[in-house]
Amino acid sequence: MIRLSRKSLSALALVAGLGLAGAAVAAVNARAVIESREANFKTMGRSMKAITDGLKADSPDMSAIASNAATIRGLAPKVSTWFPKGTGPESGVKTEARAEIWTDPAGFAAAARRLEPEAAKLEALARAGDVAGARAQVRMVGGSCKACHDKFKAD
Amino acid sequence: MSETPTPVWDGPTRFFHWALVLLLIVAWVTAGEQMAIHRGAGYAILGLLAFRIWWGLAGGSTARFRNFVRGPAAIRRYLLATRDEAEGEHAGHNPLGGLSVLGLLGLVGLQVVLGLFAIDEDGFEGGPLSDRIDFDLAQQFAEWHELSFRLLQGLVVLHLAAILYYAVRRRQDLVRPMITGARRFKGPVQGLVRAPIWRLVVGVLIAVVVGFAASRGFRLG
Repeated sequence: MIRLSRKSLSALALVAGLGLAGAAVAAVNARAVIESREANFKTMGRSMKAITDGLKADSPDMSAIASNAATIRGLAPKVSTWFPKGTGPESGVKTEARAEIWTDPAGFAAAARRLEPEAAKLEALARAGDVAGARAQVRMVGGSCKACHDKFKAD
Repeated sequence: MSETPTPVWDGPTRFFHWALVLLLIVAWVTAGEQMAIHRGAGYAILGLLAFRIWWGLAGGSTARFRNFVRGPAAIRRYLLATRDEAEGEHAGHNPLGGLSVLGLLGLVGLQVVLGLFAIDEDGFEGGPLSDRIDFDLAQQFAEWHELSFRLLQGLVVLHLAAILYYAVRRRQDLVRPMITGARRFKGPVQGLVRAPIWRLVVGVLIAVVVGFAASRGFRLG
């Protein structure tokens, strides 16, 4: 049997205590990360809805559509940074992020990367006042949302 | 058993029933995927419901609300009656079946109306009235749309269970009369009294106008 000195026992206790505290901090962080990424996705959803609603009009307000497209374009390249390890379903926090995000990081990054160029194209078409072009391009933006969600989001 | 089958359900009522079955299946399998078809199915279902309401007021006798919508007392009496009394030998919905019809029609109606306002999480695919409300509320409608579909599925399962119960325990086929329109009774019964054809024409017009208006988000011009 290994004899533990008083010193090493207190060191062990310290490590265990730090571990517990670390787990608690991680849980708090996971919640904060998940809440903030959900807020970001909602911002994109709101912009997307403003765009699709706006394009229904006979003569859409193209500058409003361009600025909403810019919001999406600005957030798009950050998407894959919103999923640090430990913020998936295993965190115990309610999330629709699927484990595949972390088991197939290359696939996830590739799917997430599709959004930015499509949003940038939409923004350019809107700035050019091309209504028909924007109506076609918004389908590409929506398609890139869906393609990634089908694989990496529950529901 | 009487010699010849007695007419029970008129053609429009049977068409309504099977078209609704088909469209609900189409809407179910296309949900979240082929949204153009999903929306189309929704508009058609709304048109069918408008027709059914008209037919419930002006259609054949067994389709009319006043001939099958009964109060709780009548339903209770029906449930407590002996089987021979309960069979009652009359053409049309029994008091409990009438309640089920109302429940199904009401829930299908709720389902379609919720869908008109719903939008998906991407803010991209939405019902024709989703642009009247903000993203968060439209997302809430999408959640209610899913919840009410679960309830509708439950009611459909109950509907099928009742049909199975009648087939197995009472040896009575309820499906065939909904296809052929007629069934045999033990004694003489008051059968279906059909509605004149012009009422069918009016009903079809109502259905087309309502379905088309829904597809345009009820905007004129």
